[in-house]
Order: sequence, then structure tokens, then C-alpha cells
Amino acid sequence: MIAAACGGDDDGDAGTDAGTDAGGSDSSAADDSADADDDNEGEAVAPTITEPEAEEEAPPDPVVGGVLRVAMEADGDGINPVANNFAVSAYLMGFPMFDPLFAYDAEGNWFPYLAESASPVEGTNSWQVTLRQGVTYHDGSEMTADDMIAAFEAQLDDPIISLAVAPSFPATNRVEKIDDYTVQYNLLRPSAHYPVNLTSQLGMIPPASYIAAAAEDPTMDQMPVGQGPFKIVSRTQDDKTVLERFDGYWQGTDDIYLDGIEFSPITDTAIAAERVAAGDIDLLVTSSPDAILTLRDAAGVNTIENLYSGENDIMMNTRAAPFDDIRARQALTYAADRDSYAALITQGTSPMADSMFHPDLVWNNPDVVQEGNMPELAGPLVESYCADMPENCTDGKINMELQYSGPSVTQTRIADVLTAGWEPFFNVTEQELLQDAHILEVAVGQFQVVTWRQFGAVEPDNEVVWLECATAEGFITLNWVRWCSPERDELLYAQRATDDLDARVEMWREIQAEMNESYAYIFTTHANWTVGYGDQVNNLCGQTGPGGETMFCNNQGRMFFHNAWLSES
Amino acid sequence: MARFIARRVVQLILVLLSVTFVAFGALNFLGDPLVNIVGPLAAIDYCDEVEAGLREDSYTSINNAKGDCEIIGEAKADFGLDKPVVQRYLTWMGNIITGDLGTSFQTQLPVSEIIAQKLPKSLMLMVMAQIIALGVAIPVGVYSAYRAGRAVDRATSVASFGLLSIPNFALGVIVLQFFALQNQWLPASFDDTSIGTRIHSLILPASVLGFGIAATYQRLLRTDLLTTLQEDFVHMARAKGMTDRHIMTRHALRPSLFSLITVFGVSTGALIGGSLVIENIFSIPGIGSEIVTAVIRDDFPMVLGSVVVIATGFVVINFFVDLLYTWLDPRVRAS
Amino acid sequence: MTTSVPSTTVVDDIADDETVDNAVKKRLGFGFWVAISWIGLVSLAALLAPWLPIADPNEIANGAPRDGILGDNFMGTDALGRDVFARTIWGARISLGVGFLGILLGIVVGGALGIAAGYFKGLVDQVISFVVFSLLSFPSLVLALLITASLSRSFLTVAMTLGIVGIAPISRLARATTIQFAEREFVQAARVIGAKSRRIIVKELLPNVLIPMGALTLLGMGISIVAEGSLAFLGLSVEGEAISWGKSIVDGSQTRDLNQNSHVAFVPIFAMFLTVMALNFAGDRIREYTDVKETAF
Repeated sequence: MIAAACGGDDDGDAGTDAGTDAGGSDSSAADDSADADDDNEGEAVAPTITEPEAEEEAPPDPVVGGVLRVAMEADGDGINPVANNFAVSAYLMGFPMFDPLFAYDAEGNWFPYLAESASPVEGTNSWQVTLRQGVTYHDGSEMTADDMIAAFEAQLDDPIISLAVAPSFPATNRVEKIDDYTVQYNLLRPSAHYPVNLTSQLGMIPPASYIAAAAEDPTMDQMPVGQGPFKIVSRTQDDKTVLERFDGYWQGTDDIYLDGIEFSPITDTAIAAERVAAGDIDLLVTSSPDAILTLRDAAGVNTIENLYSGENDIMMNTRAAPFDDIRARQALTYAADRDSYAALITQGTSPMADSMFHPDLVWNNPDVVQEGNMPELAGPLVESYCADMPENCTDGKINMELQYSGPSVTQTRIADVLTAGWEPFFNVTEQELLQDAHILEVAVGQFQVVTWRQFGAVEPDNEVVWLECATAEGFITLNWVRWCSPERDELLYAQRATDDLDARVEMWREIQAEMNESYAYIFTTHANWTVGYGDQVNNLCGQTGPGGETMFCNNQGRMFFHNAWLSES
Repeated sequence: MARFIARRVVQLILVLLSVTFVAFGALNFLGDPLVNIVGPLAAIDYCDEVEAGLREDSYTSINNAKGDCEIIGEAKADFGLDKPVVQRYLTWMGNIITGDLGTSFQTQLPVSEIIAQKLPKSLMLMVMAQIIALGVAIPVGVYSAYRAGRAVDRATSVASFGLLSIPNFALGVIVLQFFALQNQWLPASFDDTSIGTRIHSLILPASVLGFGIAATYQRLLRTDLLTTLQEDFVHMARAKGMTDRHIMTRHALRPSLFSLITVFGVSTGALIGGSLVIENIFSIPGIGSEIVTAVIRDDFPMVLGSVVVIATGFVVINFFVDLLYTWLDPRVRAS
Repeated sequence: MTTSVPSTTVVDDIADDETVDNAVKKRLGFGFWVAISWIGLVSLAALLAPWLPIADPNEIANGAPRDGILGDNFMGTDALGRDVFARTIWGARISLGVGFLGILLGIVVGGALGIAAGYFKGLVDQVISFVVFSLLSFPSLVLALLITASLSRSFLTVAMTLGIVGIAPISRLARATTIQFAEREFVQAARVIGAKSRRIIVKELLPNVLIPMGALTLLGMGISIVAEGSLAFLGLSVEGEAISWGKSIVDGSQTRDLNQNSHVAFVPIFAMFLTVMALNFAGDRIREYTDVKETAF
């Protein structure tokens, strides 16, 4: 989850999963239909699919059998949803094994998946979630409310996750067991859409017995027990993870066509892309522009691109000098060379970003413009700042430290591009940190400027945790930039309390305007999570939920493989 | 002979002790293993004050009844991080002797298990590389010594020199690009499916390593052969009427192998550690890549365990090289 | 590392520097001087880089990104549009500098250790040899990794790391050569006369040990330059905006770059290759014509 933010598009950045599971925030990719000729009336948008148009004749019958070979940019530390922080690779391996309680449909609305239903409790801020009955775990036991409660409690043991969840809950009596299949969540504030928090890691529930056992023996994090259509056969970290079909699956195995799935981490995604083209690998999930370009060019390879998968940005620590002063933040913004970033780093695989929402999305505020490439405005601000705070300046330039994660060629290039733009006004010290240390330093506020990636949740409510005042205080702050605005908090909680789309859109537009004026973030480009796959892979998108709902496809690189199938070869 | 062996064994033990002590010390002073164990809590720097009662403990993990510093304290005790370096070192060495290399901080798996998984791949790479190296170097070396000074010799000299001078990572990149990516003649990364695919996918990286080493071997062999060929017993053999080929392969070759063997020993020892960069370029999950990841992540037990295994391998191999030495040339046995 | 009895021709005559000079100069050959010229040229270019009429190596978008050779930029541009030629010349500063400084450290420390071991023998020799063997047993790249991953990756740290790795082989050569010469008559004679050890070492041994060490210096520089490249591949070479050949090669070795604009990697590769080859060749020539080979253990 924290991995979410790591910096920038990259080969092998394990952690690039924007706005993840803190409190169930999710990739808010799109609430829009980007299928070419749809007219958008501000509704949900499915990701752009660049595969060839569907043929006229009837689609071929699914073929039963075969093992899907998936390449990931990096391996995860473990696949235990209550003990490990899930990034894209963990989700790729996790979703076949764990059905989430709730899921998104193609329009971006939540619907019950593993859960049977969810409803707010009249007159309170609580929600009741009812499970289906007869759901069997891989170990044969039946899933009950006890498991849900055990998972909830276990997640609170993790300092990061608990920080994300805590602001929404009171200090005691957070969850209640109503009966064997119903759990009540007692929230602090009203929410019109609490279940969206249970669409990802927080909604992936292992059995209570496993949770307890894994707490004692952490090696069990590598061999989780779930209730999805696939169960784990073997796992060698940094090598291969193998899943096979689970015959006791609660939805039956009639339309689970794959015999199994194999996951391999291939850190050089451009090579992985070439292997997809060569047919060595069936499917690759990547956000690296080089790999995306290779996938686009290759014959026999199709891509599902989600351009709403988050934003690449630059964050400033607003509580530490020099960027606690708005002049410094503005100067950094004006001097930022976003144009070069877009041209040289993103290479056109996704558009420039003005705010946390892609322009296609209904939430986007078209009046908000991200400033940059205006170095003439930076000079006077730097002068003014240095006149007041000469101890933070040398030779008329502000001293600053740019931190990013490495070793990574892409991250280094990003740093070089940005430093070149800032050089006339700032004395930039580059600090390259190894990924875990990088995330740690950001989390505890020991940074000045970092390159990062964030947001992209399907449902903007999941972004609240990164923006609220509650998470800007304390030792570990999920509000990375530590910017607190009580007015913004009001808007954040108000949009949570209502289901009225127009009202919420209005609130989010105000929020974006406020973010723009705070100058805590410099948005560069939108992120593009792309799924590249060979012609032999079928039915990746268009899978349906238990009630026939069409499921959201490629949510920030997370995929459901439930009903996919491989052509005979 | 027995004395020789005994001395070498003592040397092995002493070397291992010093190597491990240096590694242990370096890791402890240079890194912080706490991050791997308690995550972000490792950044807390006020636990001394909390202990002294000067401030309250913080509670980051809300469900936990324990305060942050309490958690840190427990973690330190669990992993023995609260004891002095020397004591930890001795405990750790004690474990090693019983075969327990500790548990990886990162994956919680036993280090010996991880090494057992990764080491064979590096070893396979090394064996293949040495086979290629010797297979190329010995015939070429013999032939170029035989035809010393002629065109063939000069050509191979230049080629050897070139191979010696090109950095192996550059060669790796070039070979990868040309043979695996542009023309898909050979696989671009390690394929673990069967013994056949393993060998097949190691051909490129083994060649990159092997040809580089072959150049060194060839030059050494040639030089030593030339020296040997000037010795009296060779003149005698010629006078006796032996064929050139007989002389070259049966009489001259054996005493000329010393340098080759020494370097072979050293390079084998070096390659046991996995060729870090080649493994990186060709995506081979061997012990080399594992060490790199482990060092980067401050996974002490993993790094230390790997260093022990590699250093042991190096010394043991050199030991056998020495044995081979004495067998080949009784004149040297005296030392 | 070869055992062989040094051939008796030239070595016997090494009684004073002048004879050595003559012997060496006579037979170095044309190739040697070509190699030395190249090394000199590169070093000069590296030293004078700030004043040469070349592009700013850090200027983003100096030309169109990924432009090929002999376009607007002499050797093309990299993925960020920076001039490859300029970056190669500036890269020489760090690559050669790190190589030189590193080997200097190795020679000073390794040489001292080796000479002491070879001259004093006995316990001193045993202890030093043991230390050296231990150092040799420590996987060198791992050692380099440990140091650079943990400390800051400044120019000095990287140079020091490479130097430390070089101490062992250098001291072994110094020791072997010292042993050889310590047996020679003129040293024995000096001892008999009662000359102090230090005097003997400085006046008699050092000049003769320095020649093969000189050869090793050149070879060692080549190895250090390559080692910096290896460190760069692991992401642990000099940090920040500093340019080195290793870093340039890594930057140009991304798969897509190799496919489309391989010159970005190949120009520094070629520069490194030529320089290392020149160093190897020159070192080898010196070694051959002083005709003293390293001895085993």
C-alpha cells in the first residue's frame, strides 16, 4: 500500500501502486467510458482498450486448460493480505486467490462480490456487510463473519494500515459481529460508500486460523489460504509463484478455464515486453513507458491501457524548510521542467496532468492548471525568500535535497531532468535511496522534495486518506506532504457522506483548486498502467460478477483472471 | 602430506574467521537491520528518552497494546540486537558451526534454504563458463605456442588481448542485445523448467564469462609453454625423434599448466560468488543477485551467510588447487 | 601467479637504473607508444574537459533525444538529448580518476605490505600473507558493494573501495618480487656491510620492485576502470550528476535504447575498451621486457 507511492514509472519499482489500501483507497482509474465512440455524460469510463476491434462473427468458445504465464515488474514480499503491503504484483497473485468482498463494475460503481450485500444502518454511521453462505476456503473451512473480524483486527496491527484505517473509526467497538455471516462496521463519520474500502487488500479475507498461524510464523505469508478460484501450489521468492485451479470454488468451476497461473518477476520490463512479443510469456503488467512502447509496437500483442491510473508528481514537505514557505514552493513549481519530463520520460505514453484527475473523468476541474516551465516567475520569489532566510540559501539559490529511489535508470533520468530545470534557482543535492529506505523517509517526513506517484483510485473517496488533516499529524504521516486544511477536510468528509454525483463533483473540484493553490504537489503526467498480452489470451475484459455485472478491467494494473482462457496452440 | 593438509585446514579456518568477522563488523556499523524487522518504526530515535522516563512512548499501531519503543525493544531482544557486537558475532559463529545460517530478515526463510536454491544456478554458470574457457583456451594456447611468432599466433594474441580488455558487462550487454533480443537465437533470461532449458539459457552468460577468462588462460598457457619448450628435456625428446604433437601434448603441456591452474583456482573461487553483474544482465536468480539484493536491503543474515559460503568455497578450491599443484610438479612439493 | 624461473638475461644486468632504462626502451615497440599516446590523449582530454569546446554534458535536450551519430551532435544524443561526446569526455574524468586514485592506494598500501613481507620474512611475512589471503577470499565485488551501499557514494569513496580491492594482488606481486631481489648478491652484500634494513629497502629493492609494479599499475588501472563499470551496473557508482563511463553505459543499456539508439552505450563502451586495452597492452609490454613474472604464493 505504501508502496503505492514510489517514484515514477519504472522498471522494477515494486511499490508503485497509487493510493492503495490505506483505508481501502483504490486506483481510481476511471469513472468514464473511453470506448471510442461513447458519449460521456460524466459517467464512469472504462480504460482505453487498444486491441483490435472485435470481429463480426461470434466469439470462439472458451478452451479449458492451459497455464497462464504472467510477468510482473517485481516480486512482492508476501501475499498475505493482512500482513503484507500489497503492490501491483501482490494483487496480480492475490486476486486469483482472494475474491474481494466488493468490486467495481465497468462504470466504476461498487457492487457486492464475495459479500452478498452491504447497507448503511439507519440513524447511525454504521454499515452492515452480509456474507454469502457456503463459501469454502482452500483449506476446506467455511468463511464466516469471524474471519472478517479477525482480518480487520489483524490489519490494525500493522502500523501503516492502521494509520489509514484509524481516522475513520472510533477508538473502541469498531466492528461487531451481528450473526455468523454479518458484520457491522461502526464508522466515525457518515459515508455513503463505505464498501469501496473493501474492494482491495482490506476486502481480501483469509481464514482466522491462517491469520493466527501466519502471525506466529511469518513464512506462511508466502503460502496464503484464500477462497478464490485458484489456490497456491508453490512459491519461490524472486523466482516463480504457481497457482492451480481450486475445485471447491464457491462460484463453481464451470467458467474457470485456466488450469493454473504462473507468475515470474522480470525486472527489466522492456525484456519482458519482448518476451510477450515472442510468445514466451502470455501477459505483462507494466507502467514503464519503454515497455509500453515496445508492447504497442509488437505484432501479435494487444494492450489494455489505463490512463487514469494515477499521477506522477513531485511532492514537497510543507512542514520543513525551505518548502514550508510558499514562495519556495511556488518557485519550485514555476521552475519545474514538466515539458521535458513529458517528452523525454513519459515519451507520450500518457498526457500531462494538471490535477489528480484525468480530464476525461467527471471529477476533473477543467479550470485547474498545473503551472510549470515559467522560470521567469521563479527568480523574484527566490530572491525574496533568500532575503528573508539567508541561512537556507547559498549564492542566491535555495538549498534543497531531491530524494528518489534507486538504483533505477528511469528514476535517475527523472532526477536529472528536474535538476536541470531547477538549477538556476536551487542548489540541488540529489539523494538516491534504496526503495524501502526511500518510502520510510517519506513516511516519517524526513525529506524535502521527492518524485512520487499517487492517486488513481477508481473511487475518489479512497483518496481522502492522503489528504486529510488526521493523517498529517504524528510520526508516520500518510498525508505525505503534511498539508492540513480544515476547509478541505470539510469537503472531503462531505463528499463521503453523500451519493449525489453532482454535489460530489462540485466538492472535488473545489478540492482540486485548493490543492493547486497550496503548491504542495507538482503534477507532471498521468500514469499509464498497461496490460500487454499475446493473441492467445482471451476474455481478459468483460468478465462478469456474480450478479452479471461487467467487471472493471485493469484497475491500476490489477487484473482478474477468473474467466480468462488460452487458445489452443 | 598430512602436515600440508593440516596446515591448509588451519588456514581455512583462520581465513573464514577473519572474513566473517570483517563482514559482520562492516554490516553492523554500516547498516541498520531494524528497518527490516519493525519497518517504519525503525526511524524512531527517542527510545532512549522513553526508557529514561523522559517522555511517553508513542502508539503508532492502534490495535497494539504495546508502545512503539516497546515493540522496538522486543524486536531487538528477539534478534539479539541489544547485545554487543562481539557477543553477537560469537553466537552467530556458533550457529554456523551447527549449520544454522540464520533467518533472512526480508523473507523470514532460513538463509541456508535460500542459498541452497540460488547457489546451484551460479555454480552451473561457473562450471559452464570454465568448461568453455578451458575448451577454448587450451587448444588455442597450445597451438599458438606451437606456431609462436607466426600469423596465427599474432592473430590470437590480438583477439585475446581484445577479449581481456572488454569489460564483461559490456560484452554481456552486446551479446544479450545481438543474440537474444535482436535475433532470438538464444534465451534472454534464465529458464528453470528443466535441466535442458537451464543449460540452454545459460549458454550466453557462460560464454560471456568464459571467453573473457579464456583469454587470460590462453595467454598464460602460451607463455608457460614457450618457457617449457626451451627446457632441456624437450630438446632431448626432439633429439629422440618424438613427433611435435607428442611433445606438445604429452611432455610440454603438463609442466606448463601451473599458471593456468593457479588462475583457474582463483577464478573459480571468484565465480562461486556468482558473477553479480552477469546475473543482473541475464536475469539469473543466482547467489550473486541474491547478495546484491540482500546488501541493498540490509538483510544481514543473508549477506553474512552468503559471504561465509563463498569464502569457504574459495579457500577450499584453492586448497585443491594446491594439491593438484603438488601432484603435477614434485619439485614444488617441498614448499 | 605463474611459477617460472625468471629468465636470466635481463634481470642479471639490473644493477642500476640506467641499464634498465636502456634494456626496456630498446624493446618496447611501436605498439607500446601508440598505447601510451592514447592513454595520454584521454587523460589530457579528461583534465582539460571544462575548457574544451564541447557541449555541456548535463544540458538536457541539447539536441533531439536519441539522435544518432554524426547528426547535429558529433556522437549523437542520449535519451534525454544530452551530447554523448561531451558526456564521454567528462566521464573520463571520473573513470580515469577513480582508476588512478584507486590503484595509487593499492600500490602504496599493497606495495608496503608486500615489500615488508618479502624482505623481513618470518612472522611478519606470515601475518601479512595471511591478511592478504583473507582479503583475497573476500568476494571483491561484495566488499565493494558493502562499502558503497552503506556509505555515501562520493568520488573518494568509490576510489577507495576500488583501491582496497586492489591491495591483495598488488602486495602479492610486491612480495614475490621482493623475495627474488632480496636473494640477490647486491642485497646480501649490503646486509653484510651492515646497512640498515630501511636503507636497503629504499635504495636497492624499491627501484627494482617498482618496475614490475609499474606494469601492474597500468594493468590495475584498467581493472579499476572496469570495476567502476561493474559498480555502476549495480547502481552503486558515483552518485548525483557525476558522469562516468560506467554510468553512461548503464544508461544506454536499457533494452529499448540498445534496440534503437545503441550508440549511447557503445560510445562509452568503446572508449573504455580502447583505454583498458591500451593500459593492458602497455603494462604487458613493460612486464614482458623486464622479463620478470609474478611468482605464486
